[in-house]
Amino acid sequence: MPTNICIDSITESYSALKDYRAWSFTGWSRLRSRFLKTKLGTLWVLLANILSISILALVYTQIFPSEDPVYFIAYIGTGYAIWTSMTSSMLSSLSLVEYHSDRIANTRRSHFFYVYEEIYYQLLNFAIGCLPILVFMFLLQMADDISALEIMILPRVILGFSCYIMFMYVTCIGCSLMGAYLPDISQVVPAILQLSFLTSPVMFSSSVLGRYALLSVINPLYLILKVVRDPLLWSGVNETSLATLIVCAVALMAASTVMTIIYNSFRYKLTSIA
Amino acid sequence: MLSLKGVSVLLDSRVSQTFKYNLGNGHDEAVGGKIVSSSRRIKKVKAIDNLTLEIKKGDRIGLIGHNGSGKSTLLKLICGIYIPTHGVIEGELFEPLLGRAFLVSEELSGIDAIKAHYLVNGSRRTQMSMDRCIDLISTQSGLGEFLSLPIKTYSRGMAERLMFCMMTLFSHRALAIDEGFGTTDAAFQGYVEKRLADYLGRTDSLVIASHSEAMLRSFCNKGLVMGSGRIVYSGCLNKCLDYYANEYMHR
Repeated sequence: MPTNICIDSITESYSALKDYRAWSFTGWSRLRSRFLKTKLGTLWVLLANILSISILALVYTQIFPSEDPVYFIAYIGTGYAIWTSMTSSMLSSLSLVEYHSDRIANTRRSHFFYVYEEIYYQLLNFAIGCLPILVFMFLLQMADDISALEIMILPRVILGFSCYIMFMYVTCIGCSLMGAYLPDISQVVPAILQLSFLTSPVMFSSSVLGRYALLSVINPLYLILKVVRDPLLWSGVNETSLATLIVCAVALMAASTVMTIIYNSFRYKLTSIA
Repeated sequence: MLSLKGVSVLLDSRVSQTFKYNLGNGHDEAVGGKIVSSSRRIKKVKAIDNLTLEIKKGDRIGLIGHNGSGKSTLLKLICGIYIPTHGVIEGELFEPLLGRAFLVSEELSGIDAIKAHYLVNGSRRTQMSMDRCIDLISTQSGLGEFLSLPIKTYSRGMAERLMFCMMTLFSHRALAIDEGFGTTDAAFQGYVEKRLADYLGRTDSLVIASHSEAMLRSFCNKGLVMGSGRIVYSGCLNKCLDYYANEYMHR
């Protein structure tokens, strides 16, 4: 029965969610082990992003001179931080099944456990590497022109980030299944993401694209970036309304439910290929 | 109780590369499952073939057989890790003690491994605190201060001591154990045997796959001899061991 399948899938996902102490610890351990040999540890996540954004801001403000350089720097900084977080989550998820193959093959643990661990790991990267930058960009605009700050900023920002987390959940499941079942197509994903970055108005204004603006409209990654970024760029023209944010959030909730059902239906097949 | 009726398991295995050699000539039919279909890229292996079995509460069963006879697949079936391609499994599933990989990177310390194990496997089923678990494992394993060092600095024996103590920390009513569990250096072996006896003594039902006759005799009263995914002989453990020795070892 479809209702039973839906309930069973959501129950399975929720039971893995309740193990938050476990997957948050293993996710944090994974991040720690990446930088264990360095002196600055996980701070390198932030420093690497700051270095990248500084250089990119320096270059792009020269290539695309702007009337409002403060806004443009905030535009570049927030775009780069959010985009790299989204794409690194997708790329990492492609090898999710392979990375956890021993645990998948030898334990009865719910596969959603590994999805949540991966999302937590990416959120930690985001929190350490991108959140300080986003806060700085937010404050930078405030120092420049506080008059444009509205009271509805906070709900819009919260909705934007909720969309971001749900998008990460959907793509984590999608990419992990793609990596497990369509390994040839998953080899093309890094190239597609790179092309997507270069052809989307992440580091430049959308007006630069001219007649190729359609590329950004049909790019789901850029749409999510816009939904997350626009509330943070409150000092500029706000192209993403609250209604759009709500519609996006509802659509992602539906997508999350569908992906939960699909992933749950693959749980035993993943065990045999792990 | 657990009941398996007409259970078969078909596993797809991707062929890693095409050899120019005719490998079929070297195949011993007692080793590995039956290859039921084969293409250039995929081989379908029948790891379990039409198996019917009942495991009652209190049964302590030793699985005996060659490598690839289906012992591990059967263990995974009764633990719910695999589901049957055909047939039905009904009843209470077993708890697996199969893989022996740490839950954290080996760049991290033994304490991190214990914490991960406690949180993933035991925090919901035990009253023991995490600190108490760490103290207990530190004493039982004999590793002491070495637990603060990265796992990659441990010798194989030290890593096995830690793994063994972690895996026997929480008791279960029905356990499935794969071969090689609890094997370590001679100095630790006495502790392992005593600990296993105490640990498994608290378990109601047990299924162990092992090549060690001593281990099977210590903990099992029944046996199943497996070959090519089927049960070829079942009965009391001594008869199964004799059957295996006579039928297979002389080939």
